[in-house]
Amino acid sequence: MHWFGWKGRFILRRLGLLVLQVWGIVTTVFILIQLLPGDPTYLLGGEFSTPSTRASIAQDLGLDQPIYVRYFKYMENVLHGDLGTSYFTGKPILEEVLRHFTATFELVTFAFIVAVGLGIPLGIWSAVSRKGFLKNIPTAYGMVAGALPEFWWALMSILILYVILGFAPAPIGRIDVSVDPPHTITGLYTLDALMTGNVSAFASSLAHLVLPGLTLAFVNAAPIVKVTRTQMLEVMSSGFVRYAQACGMKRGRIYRDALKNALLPVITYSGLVYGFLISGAVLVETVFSWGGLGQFAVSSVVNSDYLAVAGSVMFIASFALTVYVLMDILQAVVDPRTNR
Amino acid sequence: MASILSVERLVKRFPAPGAAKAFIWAVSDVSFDIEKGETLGLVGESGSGKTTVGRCLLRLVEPTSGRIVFLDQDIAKMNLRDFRSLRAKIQIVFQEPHESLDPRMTIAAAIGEPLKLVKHMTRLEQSDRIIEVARQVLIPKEDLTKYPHELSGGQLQRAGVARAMITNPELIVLDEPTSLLDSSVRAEIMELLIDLQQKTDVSYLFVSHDLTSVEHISHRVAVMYLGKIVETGTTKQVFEAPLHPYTRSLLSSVLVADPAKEHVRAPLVGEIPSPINRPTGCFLHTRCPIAIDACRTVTPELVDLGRGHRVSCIRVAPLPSQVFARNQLVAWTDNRGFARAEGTDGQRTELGTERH
Repeated sequence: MHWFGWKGRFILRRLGLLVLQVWGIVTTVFILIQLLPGDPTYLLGGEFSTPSTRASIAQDLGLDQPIYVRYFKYMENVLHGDLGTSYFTGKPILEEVLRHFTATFELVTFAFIVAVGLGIPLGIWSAVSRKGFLKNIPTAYGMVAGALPEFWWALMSILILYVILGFAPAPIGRIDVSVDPPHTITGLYTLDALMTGNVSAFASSLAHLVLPGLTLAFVNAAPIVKVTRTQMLEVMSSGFVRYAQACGMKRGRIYRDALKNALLPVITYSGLVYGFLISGAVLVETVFSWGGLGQFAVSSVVNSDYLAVAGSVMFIASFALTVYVLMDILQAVVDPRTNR
Repeated sequence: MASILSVERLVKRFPAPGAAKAFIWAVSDVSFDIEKGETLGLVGESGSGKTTVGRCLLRLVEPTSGRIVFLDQDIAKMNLRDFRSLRAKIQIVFQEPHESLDPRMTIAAAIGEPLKLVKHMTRLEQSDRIIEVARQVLIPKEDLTKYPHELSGGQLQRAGVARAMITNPELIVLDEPTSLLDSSVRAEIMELLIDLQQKTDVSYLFVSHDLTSVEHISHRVAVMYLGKIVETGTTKQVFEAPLHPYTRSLLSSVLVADPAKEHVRAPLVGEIPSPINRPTGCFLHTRCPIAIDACRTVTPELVDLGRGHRVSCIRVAPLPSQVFARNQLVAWTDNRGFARAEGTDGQRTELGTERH
């Protein structure tokens, strides 16, 4: 009964909205792709192909059809899970997208866990510490981490940890060339290696994960630190905290109660960071030759592989939206103010 | 009657932001007493330091100097661990009812929060006490399981009062508890506070800029300007025969509902000076309509004009050592116990105009 109360309706509405949003994305992506410069028939037929060859290629791809026919055909295929076949690799795009996505997912999830695990405690710490120098840590950190682009940090970490110190493995791919990837279960190398008990694959894939993961975490923890700090400071100056102080409550207890109130916006914000990372990791992926989804999308753009671009964008956008919806639902469930 | 609270020469200065050696003088040399079962109204504009005084009593801000003797112990310099045992005896109600309750605590949990200060109480005794106090402040039982966002401002402020009352305190600092409420709700809360005081003999420090509320609830009043008390006395003395030019201007800014009463407008000129660069002499001399040259150099002290009506103004209540030429104002207490002032030249100055 409770479930179909306010919260239940909120969740249903939010899910309904998600469907509309995804439809909007599919449509937008389709339109944008029509506007992209470059002609795939040239790419496939070659620079010196005759017009008739190109026409027959266009016919094969259905490019000679009017745009609305292509749109409905495309929608129908998408609904059946068919994102088309890559002009370039000849493989189904869904398969390509999923394969690259698992790589990105592994990297980004690792980075996200580190960023949150680092950002939230650091934010709290700087908000409650009264010594001047600790207070400035997040500001300094935010400036240092935020002012320089991720790929620069990626290159620096490679230079120092791989080239000079030799701690890290070569920044090529997700696992050592000499080590066989673990048997695919989830597609995440570290997890698969753990599940199959493959120690050498686990060690190697984890070692490869560390540098790009920490680079992403380092840069993306900075705003989480800031948001946590701001929220925490705001709650710490609110009346009920002042009252608890007037009652002489133990400091730890006051922080705990304050944190409960401060954390909600932080969770929402962290969700945004996570959704963003899926596509935003592309630069770091490129530096580390990670073979992630962002990289796949970029190379598809370069190759005028329209359907692959469409598939990647659709997948990334839908994934981000789903994360945001889950965050909204989580917030609704947790917050007593959305009780009725 | 014995004082339960005695504040002596309380000073609180904050370091001024951005300036190395400068200070914001929030409270400069404030002394007052509160007796058992008594309400002292602390009045002043925003920036007068009245809220800081209240917060010093709870050590929410650390006093710079001075003594705060509460139940025969100086709590101003007491270490916080020792003070913890006294916390249950001195409580506070804040201005913002919505903000001063944790949005993630039920009303019952919020009311019961200070019980953590009281040892040797079983859970059952605690919940009994919560229900008892809720009944006293007229919070219906079904509201106890609700969260703050589900209640109105008035109900929340009742919860704020209940929370302060639950440990049976000797003194409650009421920090503008009604200034954000609608006038009908305000009246209810005021009646509740007066009723609770009669039942429990608790003392209040009622901090407010709302003169009507202060007059209604207080037994005695202290008027603050720029961190100093400029006039203090019984509510009747201060409201019916204000002597200090600042009090007079403050009172004249209140609309009087009775048209038969003479309404004297005595506005002050200019803005309240900065608490970082305070004026010399009397702090009011930059704005005072009756200031003379001496006001710029002589620091006035509170002088008792009889029956506890004390004023800090050399024009109204000169110290014996301070003799000024011409038109010296003389103050005395009339047969009704009110202080009066009149010029020595026989002419009534604006200050001497009687307020019936």
